Amino acid sequence: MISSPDLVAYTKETDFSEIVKDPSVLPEELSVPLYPYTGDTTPWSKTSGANFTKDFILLSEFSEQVGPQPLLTVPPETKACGTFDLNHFSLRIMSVDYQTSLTGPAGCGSLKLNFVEDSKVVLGDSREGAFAYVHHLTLYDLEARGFVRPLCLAYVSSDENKIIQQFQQLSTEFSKVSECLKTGNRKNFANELEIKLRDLEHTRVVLLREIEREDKGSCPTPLANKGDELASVEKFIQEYKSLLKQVTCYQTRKLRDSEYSPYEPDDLPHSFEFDLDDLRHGQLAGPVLECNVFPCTDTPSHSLKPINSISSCRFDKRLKTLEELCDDYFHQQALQQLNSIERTFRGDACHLYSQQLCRNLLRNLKSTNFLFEDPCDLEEEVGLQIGIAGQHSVRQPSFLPAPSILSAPVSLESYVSCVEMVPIKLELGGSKTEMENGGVVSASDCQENVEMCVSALMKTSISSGDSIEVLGTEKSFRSQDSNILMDTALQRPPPMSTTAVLEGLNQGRVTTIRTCSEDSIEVLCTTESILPEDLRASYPCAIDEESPEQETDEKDISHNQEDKQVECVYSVGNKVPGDHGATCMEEPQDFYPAVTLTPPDCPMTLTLGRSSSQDACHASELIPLSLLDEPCRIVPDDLSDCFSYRSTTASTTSECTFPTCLPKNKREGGTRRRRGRVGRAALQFLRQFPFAVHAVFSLLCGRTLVVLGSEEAAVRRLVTALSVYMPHLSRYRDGIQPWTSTPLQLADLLNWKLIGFNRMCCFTYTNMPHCLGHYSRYLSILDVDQKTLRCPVYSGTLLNPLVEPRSHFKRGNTYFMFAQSVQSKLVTTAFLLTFSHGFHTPRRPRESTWTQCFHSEIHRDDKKILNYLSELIKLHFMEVPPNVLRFSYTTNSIFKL
Amino acid sequence: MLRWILGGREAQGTVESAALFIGEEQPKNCFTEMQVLKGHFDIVRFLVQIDDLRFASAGDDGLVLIWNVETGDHLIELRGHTQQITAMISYTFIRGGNAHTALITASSDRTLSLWDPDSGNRVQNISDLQSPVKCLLVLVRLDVWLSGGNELCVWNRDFELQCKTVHHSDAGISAMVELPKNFIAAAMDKEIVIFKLNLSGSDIAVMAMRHLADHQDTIHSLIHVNDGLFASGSHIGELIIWDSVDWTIQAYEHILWEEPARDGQSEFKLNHQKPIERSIQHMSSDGEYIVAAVGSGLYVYNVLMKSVVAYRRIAHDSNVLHTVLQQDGCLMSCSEDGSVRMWELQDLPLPAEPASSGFFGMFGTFGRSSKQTGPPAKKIPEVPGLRSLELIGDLIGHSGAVQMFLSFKEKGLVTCSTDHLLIVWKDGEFQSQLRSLAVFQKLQENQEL
Repeated sequence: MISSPDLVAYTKETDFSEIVKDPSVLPEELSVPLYPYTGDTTPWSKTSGANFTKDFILLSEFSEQVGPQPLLTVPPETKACGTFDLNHFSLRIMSVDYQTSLTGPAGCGSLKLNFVEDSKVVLGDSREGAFAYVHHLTLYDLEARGFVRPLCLAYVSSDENKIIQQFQQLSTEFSKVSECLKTGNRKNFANELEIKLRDLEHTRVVLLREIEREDKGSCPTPLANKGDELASVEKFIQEYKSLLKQVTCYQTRKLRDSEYSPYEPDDLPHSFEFDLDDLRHGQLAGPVLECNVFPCTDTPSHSLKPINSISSCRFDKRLKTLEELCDDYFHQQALQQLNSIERTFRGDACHLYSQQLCRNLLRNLKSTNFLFEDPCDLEEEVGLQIGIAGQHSVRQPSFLPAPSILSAPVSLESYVSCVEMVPIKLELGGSKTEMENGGVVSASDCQENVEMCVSALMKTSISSGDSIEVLGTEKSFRSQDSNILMDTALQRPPPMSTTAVLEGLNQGRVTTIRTCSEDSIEVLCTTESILPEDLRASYPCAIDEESPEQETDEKDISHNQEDKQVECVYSVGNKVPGDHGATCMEEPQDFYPAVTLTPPDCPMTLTLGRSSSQDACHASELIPLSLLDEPCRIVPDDLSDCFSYRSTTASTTSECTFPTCLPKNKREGGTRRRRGRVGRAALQFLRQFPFAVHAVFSLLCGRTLVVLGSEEAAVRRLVTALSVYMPHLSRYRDGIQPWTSTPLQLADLLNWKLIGFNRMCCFTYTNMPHCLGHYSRYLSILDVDQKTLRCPVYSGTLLNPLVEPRSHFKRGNTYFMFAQSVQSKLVTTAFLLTFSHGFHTPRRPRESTWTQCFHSEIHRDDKKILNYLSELIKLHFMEVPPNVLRFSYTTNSIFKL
Repeated sequence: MLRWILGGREAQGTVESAALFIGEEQPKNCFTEMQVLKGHFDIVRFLVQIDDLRFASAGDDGLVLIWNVETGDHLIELRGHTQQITAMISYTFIRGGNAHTALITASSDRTLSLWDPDSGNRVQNISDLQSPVKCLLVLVRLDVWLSGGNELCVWNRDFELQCKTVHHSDAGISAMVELPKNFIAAAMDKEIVIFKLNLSGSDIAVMAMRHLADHQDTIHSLIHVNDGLFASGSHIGELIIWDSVDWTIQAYEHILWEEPARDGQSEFKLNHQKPIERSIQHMSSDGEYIVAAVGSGLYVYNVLMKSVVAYRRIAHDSNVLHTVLQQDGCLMSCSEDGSVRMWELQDLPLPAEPASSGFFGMFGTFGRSSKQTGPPAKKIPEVPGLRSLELIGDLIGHSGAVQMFLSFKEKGLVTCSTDHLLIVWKDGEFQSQLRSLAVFQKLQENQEL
């Protein structure tokens, strides 16, 4: 029975139309969206009640024998979920499966496979503190009821916001997994069908023979039986052939028409449906009239000869395992993908968010992002498409081509157009109640905001248990562009509750043509308190299953349900003025400027920290992303840093995800730690060598810097430190050779810009190995043992912030970020230099002020730096590998400690 | 006297070495960008320009590689020779109204090949030569080409042997220059042999006209100076300017450096010292000046004035292998020490002072009998117009001897070396501008501008 479901408003959107169009603002693709912060709580102050330690992926199945059961988790169970009751959770997430078309009376016409699209919903189990992105899919199994094995993949997290933010990426990634599994499954299923058909044919032949024989004999009764049997076998043959045809032509059909979606919404008995799709698409998949139910275990079919393996009682049989259902290759692929998804989404939502923001921004800085950015930020996760929920102004990159059969819709139009009704089929036992629960919840209590949130968040939820919420669906996440959405929403058929759907079914409106081939299945929310009619009245544009929404932090729609077990996490935000600076974490009453990182030349100012319970370091979390070169580097390098998952005051379980990032998460954690380490080393280097700026200058103007020493560890440490300042030669080459003992060749100078060199490699007792002397013109040499530096003198100004001795950074990571920001300024200038037209055609009458400025005001050494960066940018832009060594004839000086 | 001379020498040595240390600031050196071209597996000895963009390199690995000087791209590899390449020359001929440039290569495997640098095809090949060819000469006017080894062979465009001389000594022909009226001068050991090509109809005959035996030692270098003169240089520093028409000696210089100062008096000492190398390895001329690479020094001679213009006894740390006199008065030399140096002829601020030190060459005309006249130290200041050779830049990159270089004007300078590498040196500023132009062009193409 369903108690009052939890309804949690899960997003809120600022009305961005309020933003003043300032001509000087950044272009849309470069501006940073406000963090979808919701008001009263910071993400890390929220406690989590979940009793699992980190996010995990759960694959569970609705077994026809035992009901919902978990199959596997990624990472493996013991590591992931602790005391979390997977069985219980499986039950919950499986119970909202809309598409389970299980039983029906026998005797229908030919079989029809349901090529059901996956459904994607967000569910919450407030009591467990678990939230999940749930991806339902079905695999085919000849021996299963209705030939389907409903499965569901769930990304379970204790952070609801994370799920919601990452919905789209999760959806994309899980779709790939699902498609992988389904492809493998179709393959196996087709094989199975073929085998079965062969058996049946054989049986038919045997039967015919027997009938023939018995014709000559006497007894009529057995003959009649045989006749029936034969007819049955023949019928099966027909059916299986049809199935085989369907399953084999699936892919081509999908490929041919990306909009095609064989959608079978109804599982009611005897609902003969006029398959519009099939009609429209030339009747590929079978007869026009068909019943999509299959006689199942209640009416056992004829027991055939042993060779035909249709068993009389399927409950006797062991159900196929996933490995058997799915072709081995695809199964492995899917598992790998799951693992990679788990890795990808590991960590805190803020971290993921900022990282994605950062990647988005960097992606827009195609010309320059290779210079100082971590290549992993730019290259990895190619498969992970970034679309941050609630990210208005950041242009979403085009979606990666999903598996071809997936044919994901790309345009907004297609999202919007795939609007439809989905009836929910629930467990038979509770169907009545649940039907009544089918309804739409809308922001009933935010009617005052209706004008503003044109198409405000609709939070829909279905509860089949007592605290399952459907927090959102993919549809709602994708259709964030409210205006368009409103139009379409209005064109759509009126919202219907489940009961209405049933009526609709009776009226013959059963199938819906979907222009979107995937994932527009929505689950209706159930709220007894709000009837669809009410909803429509109060919220004309809000459509039940559509949940259009704007994600801003400005507006939050919350539902106060009687039985509210979930606190509304991001709810009822104060309405925050949209033009309030770059920070989004605004809560006027208790913010105060906590940290100001304001070196003279650095645009990094900021920030507001919360007065309550956060230490000042938290401000680093709040640094407006727009001001940072690489916001994802906010993430601290170790646990002692200010970053915590939710809060330090939270219960132990709430600290969950963050610590787990460290040991396992090689990519992010590793990067994070590496950055911290590098930053610390750099700080140490700056303190150790007062002449550090000259070495930095060498690196930044493209002069190879050799760290010469006899002790490998010391040399490597310095190389690490100096790597902070080294621009990458190209995206695929970083030009660092941390330790070498072989004499340098000329080509090495082209490839390596920072070299750790073993002094002992040359058996000379002179100070300088011969090769270094030979190429001394091109080299700056930092001698670790003698603490000397031989390089050109730097007397410009641009680099000073980098090595400012008064920069009292304590943390390596902070310094790393700071260096990045200074470098980003250099890069910006270099970019300007590269692409300012007037600069390169100096004979033009009107020289830009910038050009004049460059010629007159910038110091010679600074020009060198900018020119070098500019050359790299040019080469990168022209896609020429940097195969030239640029150098200059300048005097070297020797600095001694 | 001797003490004075020796003291002078030492003083001069210090002056020179100080001057050679150019320092790290080289404002006149525009080569601020280099590109390393890899492809050879052995010493690269020859560079031949094909057109404005392309050049060929060849060396001891028997490979001929065609490169694009702008991009540094390795265009085509010409494979066929099994042994080191001993001579390479470009051969431009008119076919079908278009000028084609082909490459002729000669190798120690006693083959001669004609290559099409566009397709990489080996168009012609002659493999059964009696002796390896050491030098090649194309006579554009006659549309024939000559190969010099132990004998002189004349070939037409289709690689058909027209005629050849009788077998010469084992030394063979090491260099050839074309003289007016179908005469050819060929250097054979200590002699210069004048050959005459007799054209009667389509037949060509070759015959030796005269042997000029004025050199005391092996002739290493034989160059064309201008229409009326050619020059030869020998192993012991004899530089002779010849008249192209009547083959008489126009000038004779014996570049001794300071050796005469020790004559007789320090004979013993000299034998145990490392002898100063004064072999004339290479010469080049722009018609007015001759630059001779004498040992590790450079010697600039004005053939019109018949006087020395400038010299530097130690221009490199090791033997100079190749020199080029450029139009702008700039001089380049490369050496076994792995560097390329750029020199500029500058007027001496105080004419007497540097000239008083160190140069003990003999100046004279018409015959070597005049070479021992008078104390040289007195004579030098009398030389009018003596200038100094100032180092304005050097290119350091090769780790082995730089065998040769080839200038593409503003496009750059290619050097080849014993270290198997070629380096293209470019003007960084100019290249940067080119890249900017390319960037804007691409922007324009993409309509992003």
